[in-house]
Amino acid sequence: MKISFPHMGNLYIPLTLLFSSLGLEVVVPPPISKETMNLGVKYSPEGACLPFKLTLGNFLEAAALGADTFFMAQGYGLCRFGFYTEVQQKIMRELGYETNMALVNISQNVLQNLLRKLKELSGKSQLQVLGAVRLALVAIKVLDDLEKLLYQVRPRELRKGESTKVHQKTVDRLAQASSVSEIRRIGSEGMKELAAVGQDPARTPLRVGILGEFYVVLEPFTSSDVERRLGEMGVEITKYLYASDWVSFHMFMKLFKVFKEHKSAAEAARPYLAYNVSGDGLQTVGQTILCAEEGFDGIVQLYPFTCMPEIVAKHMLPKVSDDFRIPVLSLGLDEHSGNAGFITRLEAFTDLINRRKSLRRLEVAK
Amino acid sequence: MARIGIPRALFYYDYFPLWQAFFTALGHQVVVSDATNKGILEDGIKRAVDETCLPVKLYMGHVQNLRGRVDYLFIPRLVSLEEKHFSCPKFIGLPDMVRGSVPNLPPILDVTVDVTDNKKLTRSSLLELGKLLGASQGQLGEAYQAGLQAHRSYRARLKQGLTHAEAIRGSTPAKTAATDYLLRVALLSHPYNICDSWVSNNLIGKLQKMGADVTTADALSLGYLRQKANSLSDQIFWTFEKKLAGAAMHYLETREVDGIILVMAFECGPDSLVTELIEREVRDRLPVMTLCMDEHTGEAGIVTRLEAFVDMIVRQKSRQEAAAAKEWAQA
Ligand code: SF4
Ligand code: SF4
Repeated sequence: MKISFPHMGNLYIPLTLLFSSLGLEVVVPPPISKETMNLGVKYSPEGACLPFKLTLGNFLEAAALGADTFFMAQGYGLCRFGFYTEVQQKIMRELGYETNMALVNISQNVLQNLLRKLKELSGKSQLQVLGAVRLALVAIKVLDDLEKLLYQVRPRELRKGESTKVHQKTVDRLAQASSVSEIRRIGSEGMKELAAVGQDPARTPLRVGILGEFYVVLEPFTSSDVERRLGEMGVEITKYLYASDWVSFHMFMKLFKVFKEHKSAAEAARPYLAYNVSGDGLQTVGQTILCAEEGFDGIVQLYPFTCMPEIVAKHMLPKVSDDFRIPVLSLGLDEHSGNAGFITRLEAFTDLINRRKSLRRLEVAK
Repeated sequence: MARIGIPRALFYYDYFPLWQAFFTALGHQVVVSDATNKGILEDGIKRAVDETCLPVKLYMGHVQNLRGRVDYLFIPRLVSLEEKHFSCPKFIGLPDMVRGSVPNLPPILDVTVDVTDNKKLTRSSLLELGKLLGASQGQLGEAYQAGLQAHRSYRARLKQGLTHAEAIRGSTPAKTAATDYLLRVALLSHPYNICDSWVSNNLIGKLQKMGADVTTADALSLGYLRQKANSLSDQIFWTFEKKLAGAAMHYLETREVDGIILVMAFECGPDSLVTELIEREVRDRLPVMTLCMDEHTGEAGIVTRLEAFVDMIVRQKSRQEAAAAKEWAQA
């Protein structure tokens, strides 16, 4: 068996660790590229949302490299995502691939379902499986911490692109690591190196919250790396969707902080959207309000075209944006986005919030 | 007595008789928006988010059509109608989407149904609605029963083969089994795509004119459909799409129809996947075609495709009949 999985940001690192430490042979799909996109688009239903097309593209590219088993999540409450594999499997079969899906239901009892599936795949003991999961979780946490620091350093860096390079170097090293201690060591070295990147302490970057649908927020390819572009335009971004938060929320519910964050976003959203519409729509509305209250300068909502929960959110975002006086840029993403017009919109948005900020400062000064 | 407005869109075609009986029993007057017309569609397009599906745009238009004519708008929040099965996110967010994008509306009455995560919600939100309308618990209970009664007889009329419009009108089936048709076609779709004849360009009428007897998934019983759907996939967690999948599997097995036409809105999330799965399953065994609709879909295009589809089936059928006749003659 050769196991593979779809790309989502740097998640391939913990996933590779998870499987290879259980003795499974892993095929990491090639990094998402135009090719991946074309392949996915070609064989997907036209109306499917972007993550469907890209994950299918990953599967097809990995299958060409010999992968025969694909690890994926499934279940209700995940919006269309929870049903992707039913259709993708059929498409792959009709294309002549004898591939199988290794599915973990994440509607309920995520941890149990995951452990059971891993045991089934690897034939290893509960203890070994737990060890592998721990390894992956440590890597997820380290990667997320590095990313959060990167978002702070980037808008303040003196030499454009340096923090990105330093961060990437650490990520590449992590991809070669194989033990908890090694991951932790590389992680803390990486944090130090990032912090040491030359920064301008006088700069006060604009603050923008990146909200929207999980997959596109996590996978920079989909948004032509919006977060790097914003960072290099001098914007400090904050994301609210992290794999590590998701894991602690859904697997352990122990990080009380995360639990609360979700809840208060739901509470804040209530006058505008009173129910969880699956996906991340409720969080997008609620977090926009919380960010406004925290004094953010703007919000960028990222979502795949035709994304249902985010389209629901889009119906109330203009009103929220008015009521809380926070500019919101909604970016719908599909196989055609990422062109020059896209960058222009981003630049116009940063100009706008910059001007607003200076105006507000003037008012305060008066 | 209050005037309660019900938009003639989305789940109107599934539940109108229930709601009407309920509110009438409470002593209120039910007002339905006009049949879809150009103005309604344009109003809807103006208010809804551009990328949303046509049915939601229409809903927004129908809501505006009721403005000024009613004291309340009834917009239920149908989250989950059966355990572990859900409606599309737009159904779940509907009252909020309307509030967020259409200004100057009368108060919205919303009843939330979520049997997966909160079974008690239906009851408590009904009670709240009762309080708002000044109805006692006893009156609510009676009205609720009246609603269920109306719903059951509506479902029964649908099963007898009446179209949704006929069944809502309440006409008793004068329909004897049609015998003068050339072919039988199943139209599988959310009812709102095919029952609004303005939106569907009178799809059902056109097919009938071409000599087709048309049937829909609502002519089959829900429990049966749910169970049948599992033979295609046991993972379909959208209530409506599950029905469609069940119907497709039923026709595949029984051959009661000569072909299946799947009708969906362009930006429809659940349909984009489930329809694909159905089409892939069916296409080698039974003629099948998918019609996607949005506000730009022209009548001419639909007619051409329908004619080609009907022609293909009729030709196939006559070939088969000729072959059978030949076999019979030779025997
Ligand atoms: S949340 Fe959006 S992108 Fe994700 S599965 Fe649902 S519709 Fe697709
Ligand atoms: S089910 Fe499809 S057509 Fe109906 S509201 Fe949802 S997305 Fe629109």
